[in-house]
Amino acid sequence: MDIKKFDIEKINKGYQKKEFSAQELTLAFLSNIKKDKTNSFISINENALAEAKKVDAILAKKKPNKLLGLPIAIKDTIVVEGLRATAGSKMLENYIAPYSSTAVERLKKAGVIILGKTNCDEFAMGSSNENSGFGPVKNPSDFTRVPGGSSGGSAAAVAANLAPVALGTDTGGSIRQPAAFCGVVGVKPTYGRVSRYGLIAMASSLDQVGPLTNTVKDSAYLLQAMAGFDEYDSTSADRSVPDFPRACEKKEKNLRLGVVKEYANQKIQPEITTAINDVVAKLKKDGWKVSVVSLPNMDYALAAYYLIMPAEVSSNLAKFDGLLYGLRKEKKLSLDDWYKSVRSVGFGEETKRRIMLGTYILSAGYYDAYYKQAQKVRTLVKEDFSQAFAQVDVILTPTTPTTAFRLGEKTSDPLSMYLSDAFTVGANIAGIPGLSLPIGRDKNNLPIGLQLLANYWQEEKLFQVGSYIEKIINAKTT
Amino acid sequence: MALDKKTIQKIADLAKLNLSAKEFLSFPKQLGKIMAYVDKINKLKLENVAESLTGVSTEKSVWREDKVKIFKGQHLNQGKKSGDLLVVPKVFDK
Repeated sequence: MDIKKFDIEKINKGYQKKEFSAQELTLAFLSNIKKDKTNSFISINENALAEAKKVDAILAKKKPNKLLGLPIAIKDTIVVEGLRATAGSKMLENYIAPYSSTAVERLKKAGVIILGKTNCDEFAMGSSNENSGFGPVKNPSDFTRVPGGSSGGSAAAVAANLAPVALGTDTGGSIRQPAAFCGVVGVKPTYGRVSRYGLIAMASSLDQVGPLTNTVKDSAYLLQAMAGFDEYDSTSADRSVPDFPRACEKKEKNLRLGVVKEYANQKIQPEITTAINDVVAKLKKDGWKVSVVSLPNMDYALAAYYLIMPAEVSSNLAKFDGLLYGLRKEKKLSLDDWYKSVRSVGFGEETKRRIMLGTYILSAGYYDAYYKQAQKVRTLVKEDFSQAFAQVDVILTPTTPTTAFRLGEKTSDPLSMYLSDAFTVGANIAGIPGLSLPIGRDKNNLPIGLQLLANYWQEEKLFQVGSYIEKIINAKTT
Repeated sequence: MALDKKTIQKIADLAKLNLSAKEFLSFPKQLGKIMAYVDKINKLKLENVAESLTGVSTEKSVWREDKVKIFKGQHLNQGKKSGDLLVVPKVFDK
């Protein structure tokens, strides 16, 4: 059975025509996972085949809905009842989640089959997946290179045909950057679109759950199923969910597109610039209106991000004290020594670095100079986008300044690693949605990603333009 | 602009972390470099700018009734239980 680049519609049709059963399909993916050399998975769902058997019983009786029997991989920062949830950390190495996240619960109701939990940077902190407590993930295009991060396992799993679709989380680019590095589609929804209940928090004002898929429309299907109000997340938005898959079918070229003036002077790998210019030229030729917009404060967005994020990290990760769950010491220690000994063994180096940074930023004397100022920069970034979206509907940017870098290339210099988030953090700081899709490869055959950004709650526009560009690229390569 | 060792020790204590010898050597310079980078926001004139705690700020707060629901999860696998309570380790004497 050839499961290469399987998408939701192919799977759905296959079930309808009885070309394969859910058990056969699940087994095909599980056997790919077994042979996998990318280290994309931390754990496998032992019940996957049993779940597939239940799906086959339903398939025998009725026509399947779109997501019934869809095998899926879930990032290990998202909890699934009964499955291990390590978040890529030794701190939670043996933690079994007692409940499921809302996003997963909704997908399960739609009938998905969970294959397993994917590798990621510890507590989603990293841009290369090298900060995982369970070893780095390798890029399926080149095993000497990183898959990006933090959702590196989810992106690599989809790219390497270990799963047709996957879930990731995006705090500063953690879905879009690995999607770009691995050559798949990734979507960060508007903040509040998908419930964060059951997502092991990194930075609560920035985190969002989103899909990683082979096609733009697959991301639309998954977002459709996950989105919507949830009373268990106080930041969940109480608003209706549009028909995202339908937006992918829109033929109109009625949206105004924009490219960013300031990004012309940024250090970007020339092949990425060329690939994007080619797409923009084709869009113009096809009749889309493209203009130049200005985002003057974007350079400060990354600085603000590396203040706000660690501040929230140091607060969120204070709960890992080894008392109620997670790693534990068997020695008798005083409370302070207990905390320190558990946290020093359980957390990896980057996690400690960010906790240290956050603690420093929030400490007396620095709070006003850094944290408060960063929250003001957030206002400026929001204003930048608000002005840009008054002129255009969708902004096109590179997803990353370079294609996938080498394993070990940036590990000794954290700041250089942080700079790979330059184009993605703005969306998290402002809370707007973003989509990355593959638009070609560089001379080393490494995927190049294009990022689309839209205003709050305008994911439909991302899907409409994304689907159009996907067709341009597919026409070019086939 | 490396942070001094005394500051690093103070932050580690506040963050409840023991640093390894290697971390104690690398963190002052690494954190200093990151702080020097993020300090660029102080070049901006921000006196009259309001703070934003989140990106999406127009949404209303979500409230629900403060009612106890009994959790029926089967996988509270860690630690000993005593009735409905989790037994935590004794940490108040050495």
